[in-house]
Amino acid sequence: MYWNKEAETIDAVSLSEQQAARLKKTVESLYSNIQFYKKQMDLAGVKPADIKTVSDIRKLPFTTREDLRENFPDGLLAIPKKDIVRLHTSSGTTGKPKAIFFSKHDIDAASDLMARSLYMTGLRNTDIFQNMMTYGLFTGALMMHYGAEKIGCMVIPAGPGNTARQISLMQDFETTAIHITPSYGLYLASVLQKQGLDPATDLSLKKAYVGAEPYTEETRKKIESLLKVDAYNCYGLSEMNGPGVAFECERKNGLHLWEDNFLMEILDPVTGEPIPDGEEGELVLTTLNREAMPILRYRTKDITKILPDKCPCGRTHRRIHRIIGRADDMFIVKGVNIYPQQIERVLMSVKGVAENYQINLENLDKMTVKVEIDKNMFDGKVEHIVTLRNEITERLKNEILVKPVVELLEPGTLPVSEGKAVRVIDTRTM
Amino acid sequence: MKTLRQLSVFAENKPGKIEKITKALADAGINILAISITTTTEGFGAIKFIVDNSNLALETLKQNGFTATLNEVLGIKLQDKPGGLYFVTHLLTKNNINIENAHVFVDGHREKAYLLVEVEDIEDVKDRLSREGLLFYPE
Ligand SMILES: [Zn+2]
Repeated sequence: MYWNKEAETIDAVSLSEQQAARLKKTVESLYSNIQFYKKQMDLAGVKPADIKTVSDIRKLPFTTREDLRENFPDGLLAIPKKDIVRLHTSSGTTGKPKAIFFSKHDIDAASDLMARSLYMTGLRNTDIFQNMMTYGLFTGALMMHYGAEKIGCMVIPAGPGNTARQISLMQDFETTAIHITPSYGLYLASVLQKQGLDPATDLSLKKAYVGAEPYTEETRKKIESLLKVDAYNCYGLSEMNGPGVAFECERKNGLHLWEDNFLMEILDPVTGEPIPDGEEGELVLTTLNREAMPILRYRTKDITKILPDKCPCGRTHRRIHRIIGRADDMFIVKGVNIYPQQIERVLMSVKGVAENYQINLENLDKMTVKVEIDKNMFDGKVEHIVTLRNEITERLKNEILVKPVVELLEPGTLPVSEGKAVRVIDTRTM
Repeated sequence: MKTLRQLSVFAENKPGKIEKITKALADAGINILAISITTTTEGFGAIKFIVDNSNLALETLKQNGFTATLNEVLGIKLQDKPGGLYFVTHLLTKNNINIENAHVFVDGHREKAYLLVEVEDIEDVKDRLSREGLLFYPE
């Protein structure tokens, strides 16, 4: 049932001791090997010797994505270059990418966490794991690959696309697990349907690891019922090794964050003050088991909350809620914190709308969500548009707790956004 | 079976929309025989046309960036006398036929008028109404 029972069911006191020891070691290495961190810690007036317990984390400086960019390419290395065995980069929407280096130890540790995560969902050495993610500078595909291989699965490094070939691979080699993006998962299901293939009888699929794009619980259920799989949510970021930071267990209710490898804080995104368990805040992570590029208090900008109850699976590592939104993008309507990602997830799960959307905020907290309809959705019947609009309004209200005005627009009406462009137009003056 | 095809164009509540659509059709030399506008309280709707060349009209509108589609409607011949429309609607009600949308269309020779109805199953409705003695377009 456990990949590493001792580590996964560790009691709170032992975990805290282990974290403190690892934090101490990390801080010592950072301070003596990385100019940037020495300077930051000196500025904050903190010495490695001041770090004795986990709660001392609050004395330490934050690391932002800008810090990573400013120290590009190798300003945050804690070990000699000859000991680096792998480079990954994480592309930013603007400017320089972030470079992440791994030593042999780091790759092994990341693979082990990945194996722990996958094993937790029931993946075993008898499974055939078809990896449909992009291999390359992006950490997602490779780390999953290593984890599945470590468990002993047969891994098929298919990469994305070429759906006909994906299907033959799944049939010929009796693939039982796939790693896939939600949009490709839905597309794959539609192609199977068109070819008259029923996943229940024509394929051997049991599990899908779905990630790299935001998606709703509803989309998960859709993928599960269309592909006849159990779909699991994973969380990670390249700066923190990639996908194995937090993962769902078989209960599919929150993601266990591996606290022996990452020190987790949930903070107020503006003040940086701690937020009680159960309430939303920014996830801030410190690596506890990385030698090449340890990172202190990394501001992930991801908003989540800790699920305080014990998980029935027996693992003691606390669970986080699936990522709710990005800290930078939050806006407030009628006293409610709202993230564009929540709206995006809803729109992505509704059939009949295109990708482009815009959120307008006007005085008196009037919120309008403008969304383009899918050209193929229009069949001349106004009733169908009204139904679609009502469906979107209702689903948005359920997600964000505020009922917006939904405007359906003709395709091509909204400005085409480059990457993660500004989707929120706030003209409120009071 | 010959059918009557209606051109529907998606319209959000923006001034000048009909002008733009009709200009595009005029530039392509398309003759509009009937028009009907359906809007909702939410401010969007559909503009529906009967034209002399529906394929060309659809093509033209799509090329001009409009969201348009063609769907089949049933044209029921109206008698040119008081009560002509009532006679038809009475038979529709009597046969329990649910109308999703309706408007009137006068044929190319400006002689005969038809009630255009959008119904779910055109063949079935046509069958039932022809038993009541009604005539259709195209004849
Ligand atoms: Zn669990």
